[in-house]
Amino acid sequence: MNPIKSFTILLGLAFSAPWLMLVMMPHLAFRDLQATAYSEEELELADGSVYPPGGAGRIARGHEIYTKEGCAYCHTQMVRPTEALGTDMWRPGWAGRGPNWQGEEGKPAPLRTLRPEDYMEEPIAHLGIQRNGPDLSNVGWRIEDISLLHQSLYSPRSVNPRSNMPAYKHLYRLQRKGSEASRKALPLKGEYAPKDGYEVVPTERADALVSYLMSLRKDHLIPKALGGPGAAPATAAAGGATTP
Amino acid sequence: MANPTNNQTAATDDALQRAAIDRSLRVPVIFFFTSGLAWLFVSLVLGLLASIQLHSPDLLGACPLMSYGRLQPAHMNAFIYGWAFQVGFGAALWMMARLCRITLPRVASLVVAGHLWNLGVTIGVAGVLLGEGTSIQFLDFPKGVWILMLAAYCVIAGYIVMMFKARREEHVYISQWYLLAACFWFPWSYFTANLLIHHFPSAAVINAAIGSWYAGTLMILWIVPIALGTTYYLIPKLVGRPVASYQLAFASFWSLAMLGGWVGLQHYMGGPLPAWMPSVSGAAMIFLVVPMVFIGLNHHNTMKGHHDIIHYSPTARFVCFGAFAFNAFILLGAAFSLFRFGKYFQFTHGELGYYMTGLYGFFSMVMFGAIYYIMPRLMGCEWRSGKWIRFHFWFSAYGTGAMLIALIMAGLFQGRQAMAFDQEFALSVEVSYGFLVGRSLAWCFIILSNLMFLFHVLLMICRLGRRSGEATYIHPRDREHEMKPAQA
Repeated sequence: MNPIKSFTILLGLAFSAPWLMLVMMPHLAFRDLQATAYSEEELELADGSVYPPGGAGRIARGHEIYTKEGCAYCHTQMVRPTEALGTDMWRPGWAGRGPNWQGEEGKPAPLRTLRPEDYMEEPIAHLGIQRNGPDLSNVGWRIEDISLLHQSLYSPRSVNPRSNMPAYKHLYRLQRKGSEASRKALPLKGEYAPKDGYEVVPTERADALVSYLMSLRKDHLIPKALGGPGAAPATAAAGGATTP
Repeated sequence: MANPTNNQTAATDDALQRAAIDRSLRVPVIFFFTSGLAWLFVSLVLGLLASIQLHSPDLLGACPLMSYGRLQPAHMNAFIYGWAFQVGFGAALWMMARLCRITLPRVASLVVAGHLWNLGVTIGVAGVLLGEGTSIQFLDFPKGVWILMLAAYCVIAGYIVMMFKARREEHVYISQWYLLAACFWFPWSYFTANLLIHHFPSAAVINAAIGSWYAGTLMILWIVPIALGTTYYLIPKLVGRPVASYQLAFASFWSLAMLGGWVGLQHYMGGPLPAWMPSVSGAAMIFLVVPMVFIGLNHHNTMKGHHDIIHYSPTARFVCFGAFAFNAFILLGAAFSLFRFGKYFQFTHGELGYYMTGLYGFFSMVMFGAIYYIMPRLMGCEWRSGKWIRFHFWFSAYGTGAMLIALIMAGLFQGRQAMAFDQEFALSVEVSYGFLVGRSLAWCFIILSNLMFLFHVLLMICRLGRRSGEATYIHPRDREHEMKPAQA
């Protein structure tokens, strides 16, 4: 065979092996990821009837804003397992509701690593490029006050003076106060407050982004059918990642 | 055998042929170099702004265009598609024509394709800044732009392949292996990644995995082979003898080819993917040390006894700096793929340092060397001033060195502090503050050095270079030194 032809064929072979095995096969294998129904005994421990429980339509819009603003350039959505890769699982609230979670009686507070199904509702998983801000895999559990979240999106330094997050002021609207303050107006104080007679309210985009962030809860019980712990104490699933 | 007169005619014929080749390529190559340099400048400014945003987030106000999440991808994509690809096209076209002894009869469609490529990059970068990015590393351009870019790419790479097919030179050089392979790998992975992610999506995590696979292959199977093809061309040219060992070159090329397609997923090690995927990528990254050693050894042997060219030849100095940075790039990639180091550096500024080592320290420095070599041959005049070249070199070398150290140290501090799970997370961001200020300063160095370079190139294009005399050297050439026998 002429050497140029064999050069091309060898190049093709060398590249098609990883292309097939690392890209095409996982692509096809995970194409039809389905939600799994919980068995009856799991139902009382789980948050819904299927895993993953699924989100609302507004969350898709929030994911789009998260994408377009490049949030993934500073925030990961990927909690690394403890065995080899550090202490992500031990940070309070990162790998799930955590030990301080005051839930219903009898429901375990799961801490676990993540599975492909946890991201099923999203068009692409923003696992993250850098971690210049906290991991957001389970941020939905950590947010206690929605208006504070809005405030830290609008003006991060007004909530934490040491934060280096960009201020997403363009997701908010400055409007003249009506007879009484709008229910949604941000509780800005001091130098961050708008001028007298005005208030800052979230636009529909900010609301969508916040709904998306609130929906980020990736510690749902893994059904036994998927190799999950089922009714067993959920902390065992985290590979010994208990909070010391 | 040939008598002296015949030899002389052959030499004149050769020179005439080379001049004809250069003439036929002048327009497209100069086009790619200048538009590449313009994008380099845009990208450097965006990079400086992004860097400033990380330590002084309120300095530039709350303009949405100026948030880190838009500036950083705009900067990286402008760097890669605006600068790296275009300067790569220019150098690859010229080297391929010279190595195949081909004159290009028509270049119109090449220039049109070049304009389309620039249009694609412009739409893409503007799209990212205006908030239409995709947040997939190195694929941030808005959906749909990839079709335009791929079409333009195919025309340009088609020229390179067609020149090779019509070559008038029997011998196939090592540079040609790398250039052809890069032309062949990139469209395959670019097409696959865009088509699968945007149009035939799989599960969300697999889409993310394909994105990171693309980012890895872009570095190892485009950036690396184009720059290596250039070093394999320039180093033998500068020392005036062939590559030391074709066997070593063969082994390193094929080990790179076999490993290159597996890389990328180590970025998500520990992620919600089947564990074998990041593991395989990590292993491939570590094995890449083997071709790195072979290539380094080969370059070293080719240069043996001629290391003094680094002293006076601008091209040699930039190319050798790049060849050293290649080792740093591969070693960093291998280190970050090990759990031991990776757990500290994953998701930190250290990874950015890895990319900048490859993109600036290795690729860009080699390409600056290539421009210093090619431009006088295309324009028929010599570089104006050795002092200016020295300025460009030292500011670039110190700038990229300082940036690398700042980013690696920032990453190390950030990663170590992040392990302290019982302390506030915010501390891991704050410990890197000083290094980030250092990085912004390093950006200023790099921007300064390239302003000088841009000015120098513009003078050359306006044919305001030196008209007579020999090539411009950084330092006067020490003739006596040359006469000494080569040291072992």
